[in-house]
Parts: sequence; C-alpha cells; structure tokens
Amino acid sequence: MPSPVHSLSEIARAAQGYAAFSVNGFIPELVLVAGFLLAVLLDAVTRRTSRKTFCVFFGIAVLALAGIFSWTEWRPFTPDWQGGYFIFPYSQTLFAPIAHNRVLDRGYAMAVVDNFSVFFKLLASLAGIFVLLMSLVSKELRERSWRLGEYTSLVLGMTVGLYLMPASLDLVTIYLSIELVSIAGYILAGFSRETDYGAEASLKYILFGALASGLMLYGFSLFYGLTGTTNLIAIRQILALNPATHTGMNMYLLWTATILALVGMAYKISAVPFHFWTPDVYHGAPLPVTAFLSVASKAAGFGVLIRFLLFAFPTSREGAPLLDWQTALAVLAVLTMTFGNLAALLQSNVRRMLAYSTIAHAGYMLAALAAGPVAFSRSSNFGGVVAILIYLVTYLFTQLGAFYAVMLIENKIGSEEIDDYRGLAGRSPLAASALVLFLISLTGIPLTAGFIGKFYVLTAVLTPDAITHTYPWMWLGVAVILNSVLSLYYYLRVAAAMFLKRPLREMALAADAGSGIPETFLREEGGRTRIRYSIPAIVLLFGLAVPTVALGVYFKPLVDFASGVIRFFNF
Amino acid sequence: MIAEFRVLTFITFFPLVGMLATAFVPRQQVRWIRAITVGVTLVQLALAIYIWANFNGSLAGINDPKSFQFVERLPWIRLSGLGVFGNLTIDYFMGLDGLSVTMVLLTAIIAAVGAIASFSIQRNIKGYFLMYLLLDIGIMGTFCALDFFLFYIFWELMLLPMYFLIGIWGGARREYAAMKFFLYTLLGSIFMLLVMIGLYFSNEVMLLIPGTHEVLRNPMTHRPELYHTFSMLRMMDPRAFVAGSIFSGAGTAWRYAGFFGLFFAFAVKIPMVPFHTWLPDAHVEAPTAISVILAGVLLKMGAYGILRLSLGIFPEIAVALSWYMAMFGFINIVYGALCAMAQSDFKRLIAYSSISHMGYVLLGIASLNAQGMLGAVFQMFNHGIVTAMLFLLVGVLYDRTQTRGVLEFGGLANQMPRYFALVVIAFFAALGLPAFSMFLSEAFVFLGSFQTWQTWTIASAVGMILTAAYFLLTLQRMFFGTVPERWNQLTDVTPRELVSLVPLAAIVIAVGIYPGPIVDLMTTSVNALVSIVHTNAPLTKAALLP
Repeated sequence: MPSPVHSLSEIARAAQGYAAFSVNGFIPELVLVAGFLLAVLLDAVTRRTSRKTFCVFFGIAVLALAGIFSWTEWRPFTPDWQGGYFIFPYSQTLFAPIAHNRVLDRGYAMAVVDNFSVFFKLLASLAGIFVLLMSLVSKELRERSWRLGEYTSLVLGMTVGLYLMPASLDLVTIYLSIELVSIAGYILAGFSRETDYGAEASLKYILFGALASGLMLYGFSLFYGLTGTTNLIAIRQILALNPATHTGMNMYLLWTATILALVGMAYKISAVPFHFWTPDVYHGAPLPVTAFLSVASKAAGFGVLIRFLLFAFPTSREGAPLLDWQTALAVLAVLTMTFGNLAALLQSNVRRMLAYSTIAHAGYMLAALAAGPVAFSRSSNFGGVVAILIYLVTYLFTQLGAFYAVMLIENKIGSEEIDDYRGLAGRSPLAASALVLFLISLTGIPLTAGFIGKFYVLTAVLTPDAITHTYPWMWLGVAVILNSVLSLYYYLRVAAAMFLKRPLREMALAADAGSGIPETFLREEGGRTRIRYSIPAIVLLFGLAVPTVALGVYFKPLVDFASGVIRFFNF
Repeated sequence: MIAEFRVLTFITFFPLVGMLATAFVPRQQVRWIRAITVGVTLVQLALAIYIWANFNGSLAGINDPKSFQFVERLPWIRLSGLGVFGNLTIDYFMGLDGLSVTMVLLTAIIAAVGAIASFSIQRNIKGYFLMYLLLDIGIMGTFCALDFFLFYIFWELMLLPMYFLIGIWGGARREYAAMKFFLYTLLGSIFMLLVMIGLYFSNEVMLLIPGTHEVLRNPMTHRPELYHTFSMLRMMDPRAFVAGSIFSGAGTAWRYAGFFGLFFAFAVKIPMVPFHTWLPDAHVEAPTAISVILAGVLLKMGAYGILRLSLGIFPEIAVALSWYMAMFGFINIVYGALCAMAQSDFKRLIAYSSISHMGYVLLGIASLNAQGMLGAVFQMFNHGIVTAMLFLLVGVLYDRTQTRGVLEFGGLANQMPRYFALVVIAFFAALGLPAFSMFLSEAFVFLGSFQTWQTWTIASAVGMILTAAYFLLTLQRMFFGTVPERWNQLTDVTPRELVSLVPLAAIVIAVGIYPGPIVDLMTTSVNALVSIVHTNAPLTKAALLP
C-alpha cells in the first residue's frame, strides 16, 4: 500500500494544476443571469402577443453569447497544460477540521472551470438554442404565445443551473445548482397546466424531485458528518488519509451517504429505480421542454455524477479503494437499460416510448461510467468518461431530432399514437424519413451518430484493465448489445407504422366496399392530403439530421474534442 | 493495372450517383427511374467484367497486402495524441483477391438481373429503386472492404433498405418477415461488433507518414506511435496480436468466444440451421427481385465472412471446431431438403432448397482442404446464379397467376414451353446434374470433405437424393398432366423476362461445361487460405484435439 505521504503529494500535485480564479471565471453564468433578468424585463415591456417571439430570439442570442464565453475558457492540451481554474475559492480553515493546509492551499472552491465543465456548458447552450428554435415551431407553445417571454426566461434560468452543475466542486454548489435546474424544470413541465397531462407532469415532477433532493441532501449531510467538509477534493483527501472515515461501522455510513447522494443524481438522469417521473413528465410537458429535460438536464446530471464519483473517492493510487461503486453502478446500468427498453416495448404512444427509451440510453451511459474509469487500477483510465461525452453529443442531435420530428407530426395530425402514424410516409415523406433516421441512430446502426456513441460506450466497456489485463466488464458489454437489439424492435414499430401500414381510416373505407368511394382514392397515392411544413421548420429538421449523419461518417473532430476533456483534473 | 482508376470505389459507390439522379426525377417518370437503375447496374456489370478481365489469378491475397489487386487505401479516421483508448486508425481499405472477385462478379450479375426483374414493381417506384441502389452499395462494399470497420458499416448498411424493400413491397405477411429479418441479422451482427472491438484492441501497428518511409511519431515524446488497427489482414497474423490482449495467444477461452461471436453473425446470414427461421419468411414475402438478391448474394455474405474472417483470424478454433461445422453442413443439406420436400408453396420450396444448398458451402469450408474450399467458393457463385434463376421463374408464374401453390398447377409444359425449358435447366442445375455448373461445385465439395469428414460426407449424399426427389416431384406436379381449367390462358415468358433469364441459363451451362474462367480466379487464393489456416492453426492444434 502506498504511503500516505506519497498519496498526499499526488493530490497536491493535481491541485497545483489549477489556478485560483474569482468572478472572472464566472462570466458565462453572469451573462446568463443578466440575460434572464433582461428577458423578464423584455417580457414585461412587450405587450403585444405577436412580439413575444422576439423574446425567444433574445434568449437564443443570450445562450449563444454564454456559449461563446464558455468556449474561450477551453484550453487545448499543451505540455504546460493547466487543469483549469477554481472559482470562488474560500479558506479551508473555515471547514476543514483536519489540518492539511500545508498541502492543499488552493483546492477549496465552490466551482471549477475546466475543459470538462466547458464541455457541458457548450452542450447546454447548444441544446438550449435548439430547444428555443423548436419552441418557435411548437404548436403547444404557439397556442400560449403570450407566455413565450416567461418561457424564455425560465429556459435561461434553467441553463444557469445546467452551467453550474458539472462545474460544482462542493456539495453545496451541487445541491444549489440541481435545485435551480429542478425548480425551473417544474414550472416548465407544467407550462401547459390547463391540460390534465400538463398538471400531472408538473405535480409528479415536483413530488419526485422533492423526495430525491431531500434524500440527496441527507446523504450530503452524512458526508459532512464523516469528513467535516463539503468540498469534493477535501472529501477525497480526508477519505484517503483518515482510515476512521471508512473502517468499521463508518463503512456502512459511507455507503449510505454515497447511495443517498446518488439518488439525487440518478433522479436527474432518470436511472432506475428513480425514473418513475420520466414517462409522465415527458408525456405531459410541452415537447420542447421534454426535449430539453431529456437532453440538457440529463447531460448535466451525468456531468455532476461523473464529477462527484471521480472527485470525491480516492483511487487505489491514493490508498485503499473505499467503495466498489463501479459494480454498484454496473448493476444499476443493466437495470436501467433493460427496464427502459422493456417498458418502451409496451408503449402505444410515440412520446412515451421515447421517454422510456431515454431511460435506456441513460443505462448505456451508466455502463460506460461503471466500466470506464477503472478506479481500482493504478493508471486511471477515463475512457468511460470520454465515451459518455461522445455519447452525449450524438444523443443531443439524435434525441432532439426525434422529439422534433414527433413534434412536427403532432402539430399537423394532432396525435402521438403509433396507430395514427400509419401511412404517414405517403403524406409526409420528409418528416417520416427524418424520424426513421433519428430512430435508427438511437438504435445505433452505422453511418449515424448513434452508432459512434454506442461504439465508444462498448469500447470503454471492453477496455482491458491496465494492470491485470482482464476484461471484468464483458458481461456489461453483452448486456448493452442485447439491449440494442431489443430497442430496435420498438423503434422499428414506428417506422413500420409510417412506411409499411395503411392508415386506419383508409382501411375502414376499404372495408366499406361499395360505398361509392372511387378506387383511386384507396390507392397509395390518391385521396390524401399531403402535409406541408414551413421552410424554417424544415431547415431546423435538416439542422438536426445533417449532424446525425455527418458525425456517423466522420467522427474524428468529435472524439478529439471529447478527448480534450480527459485530463480534466490531472489525477 | 491502371493505378489511377479507382475501380472499386467506382463500382461500389456508382449507385450513389444513380440515387442522386433518381431523387431528382419526378415520381411519375417511371421509365426514367427504371432506366437509371438498370443503367447503373449495367455500368457495374461492365466494371465487374473489366475487373474479371484484368484480374491476375496467380496472386493469392488473403493475408498478404501486396498480392491484393485493385487496392485502394486511404486513411479515413486517425485518432492520436491523447491516448484515451490508444491511437486508432480506420482506413478506407478496399481490395480484391480470389475470394472476393468472384463475389463482386456475382453481385454485379445479380444486381443487373434484379434491376430488370424489378420492373414488375407497381407502387412507389421511386422509393423502391432508391432503396434498391442503397442495398447495392452495401453488398458491393461488403465484398470489397478489407478494413473491418468498413466491412461492418457496409454490412449494416444493407439492413435498412432490405427492411423497407421487404416491408413495403412484400407479400401478405411482409411486416412480420421484414421485422424478423432485421432483428435476426442485427442480433448476429451486434456480436460481430463486440468481437471487432476486441480485435482492434488486440492489434497495433506503426504507421508511415504518407509518401515517406518515416514512422509516425508522437508530437510530444517523439517516440514511434502504435496505432490500433481494423485491418483484416493484420488481424490474420497471429504474431501481430499484442501480448496480453484479449485475443492474443491461441486456443484461449476468449478466442473461442471471439470465434463464436463472428461465426454467429455469419451463421445467421448463411443461414445455418437452427438460425435459419428468418429465411423462409423473408424470401417468401419479399418481391421477386429482392428474393433474387437475398438468395443470390446476401446469403453468400455469411459464407464469405466465414472464409475471410473466421478462418483467417481464428484458424486454430476453426480447425478445432471443423467437425461441428461439417455436422452443421450436413444438417443444413438434409434438413433443408426435407423441409423443401414438404412445401406446397413454390417460393418457400426454393427458399428451403437454398438452405440445403448453402449446407454444401459449410461442408466444403469444414473440409479445410483445397478441393473442399474451392468447391465451397465455387458453390457460392453457382448457387447465386441458379437460385436467382429459380426465384425469377417463381416470379414469372406468380405475376401471371397470383398464386404459388405447386399443387394448383399441372400440364404447364405444353402451356408455356419456353418457361418449361428454362425451369428444366434451373431444376437440373439445382439438383446437381452433370454439365450444369452446380454439379462441379458439389463434386468438389464432396471430394474435399470425404478426405476429412467421411461420415458427414456420406450422410450428406442423402441430401443429393432428396434434392433430386423434390425437384423432380415439383416438375412432375406442375408441368405434366392436365392443365386446370383456369390456367388455359397463361402466356409464355415475355422478352423482358427472357432478358434476365437467358443470360443466367447461359452462365449455368457455360460454367458447367467449361469452369476455367471462374475457377481460375479463385484457385490460388483458396490454396493460400488453406495453407494459412494450416500453418497458423498447428500452433496449438495438439493441445486442442484429443
């Protein structure tokens, strides 16, 4: 076992990579906050409903600006590479009862700016921009267009939380940012509160959210009780150096604390068994909101989960491994993907099916996280993290695309039932083809982005342990691929309905033979109104479909970009 | 050989041009849409003949990059520097050897024939031909690719078009058949994906800077960098595996697992009993042209995969398990023939005969000697041609009568004499009569397998009798006796149908009499494959076999 002094210097060296920064590391968030306030103001001064769309464009501009500011904080890998910046540093003597201040004098901060957090900020901005664009097309929101200003400000407020979640370095910041996202999410989910489903969505989201965040907060308090600090790096340090924190009965306490803390994050990524809210909220909320929750909120959830697991727990390099959180996560991953897929099989509503499938996708990403980091080996391998980042980008385009295509169709035919999708390909070949593309990408068939995501998840799962050269996670890989085949079945049902089946109405007419309906009317081409979409709607559809294909064909930039995050904290 | 003319890229991606052109033709211009596809496939056929004429049969290929022909190799994706998953190189690596050149030729012939047969498609013609051309790209690419990643992409590329081609333009139970086909094939190929990832972790190469003899170095450490590669040729070299990696060593449990993963993917495609149940459904429900493609080319992809990948990469496992492979070959032959005998649906009968005939391919591969393996590859080619002809003939009858019940017909010999003549050629070829092509390949298979697995070979001979029985029985039921009242007005084969049928019949007879032009293509490669399997396998053969 390595000596404590050795491990101490390891941590110290890692922290040296980070320079302390203050508010100047917080500019993107400040931009968002200012934007949020201005959006509220703008909403108040625009009286005419027709002008409210301007608020949405303003929101897009704010998100883009915040994204650009985040982008300037991206540090490409160089030999004299710096890990990142701590923002809002505070004196450790305030919190740390065990004196290690000679070693670590800069690690105590509320948040951190590094490539990892920048990645998630860019992701959140991109998703936000797409979602606001979608909102302009959404019939559900256009019907309530006098509230579009309010809507925009809520999206901006939520994005502040999304920016902070993966950047948090302190249990307090983690909690605050998750709550910020949640509260904005509760209101957004109930945006169409007059409808039964909308009210149900909001209520369910709040109840489950309150429970989850309560449990998480209790877990955090146990962490504080164990280690005397709320800072992730300090927790790591104390866990590594003070055996009393994880021996004897305290081991159970540590497990309890960890599991409770994970509840809140599992709720955000909708992992089984904290997924119950997902289908109802995704079903009841306006579709752009559903898309935002399923992509941006889930991504940030993964960001905070990765940050927490990889920062707060020492690896074997710094002392004895404490918790086998990898195996626990692997089991959770298999449960999540299998449950999500099995439940999706039974859905007759496309949106609910997609909701369950997002649960399955969380399972795939959890599998990469469980298998990838190889926390117990000496050479930490962040393959799993990179795989998740790649997956999240491919998932962003694909899932947003799928929801968007469903929304376009819903706008026109007023239904999301698979049975009502019958024969849609004849009426609306563009939207139907695009939806098939997105569904195929979600399945992970080559030449789509989804395949690259799945390829890298499998690569992470199959990466050999650096020391023992064994493949402890092969079973996880098999679980992932069997689940992919399972998922193909229900994705194909939608494709089959659109392309292979005749509309119910037409079949009813055909059955009613001799009713004087001309024969041509019953044929494939005749007698049907073609669905037309506005040009901007089609442009947005292409804006999501083109990256879905392009990333499948040439994925080097994406992998390079995601790999740039790899040494996000030099451990 | 002309270095600059990238014939493989052209032959593979030329349908893309056709797709673009089709996309801009209004959907009412049916003639133009059909003409484009036929034109594209004819250009492909011309290119295939060019390849055939310029192919040097004395170069082996298999695992030697220097003796591959028409090679194109460009870096496609190279990831380096950050070392998350190690460095990675995926190449656009295409090339032909004796195994693939026959398949490319076969694909070109069948694609052209299928395009002509597609004229009978009546609804949503534009969508049909778009999907048809996409399918064509996938198939052609699979046979040309020498990079596993590329191979996998082409392999999966044809799933979606095939799904729609069966699902939209198929028969009564088309949705069920299409879904079954897609799920089955994906289940197989997804295991291939796992093995592929394992293989790429097991292989490392140093890369040269293009145009020089300098090794690519890490920009920071200046040490030569090792890249994980997907090159199939590299994977076939047992010494190339990184020590301690998942597939290193010989005869290890992981290598068995890898072999099973790959073999499963290919066995589904062949299809090997008991993974065959998708085939009768898919074949029966698919429109004629698609049945032709399915039976003519798609099944060969499975056998090609076994030859190219399973044998090359896991030779010692293939040797160790060849007894079982021969057994499954026997089961395929006899089970397929028995099932065919029990069918009253003409198309289903032909579908089961395909299963039976692909059993010979398995048996030939399992023989692991030059005659048997040559027979297997030759059988792949011959079966492609013969079964395409059989499905076309089923289609001819179905177009006229809307039924495929064998027992509903009788006395068609007088009613449709030209049709009868073609059926006789196809049936006699399929049951392995001398002077027809399939006799030669089946003889080769038996010749080879008798040396290795006598029991299974003798048992398989029963299959030949059964095959003769069901084909002759069918001939008797449909063509002799009296014509039922309602089929009095049947017209004989039309010129358009003759255009696709007669060349196939000519090939069947010509190859049966003078097999040289086809056999010479593959002899050297097959010999090389056999010797590679045997030189690489004995590394552990003693430890494996009792």
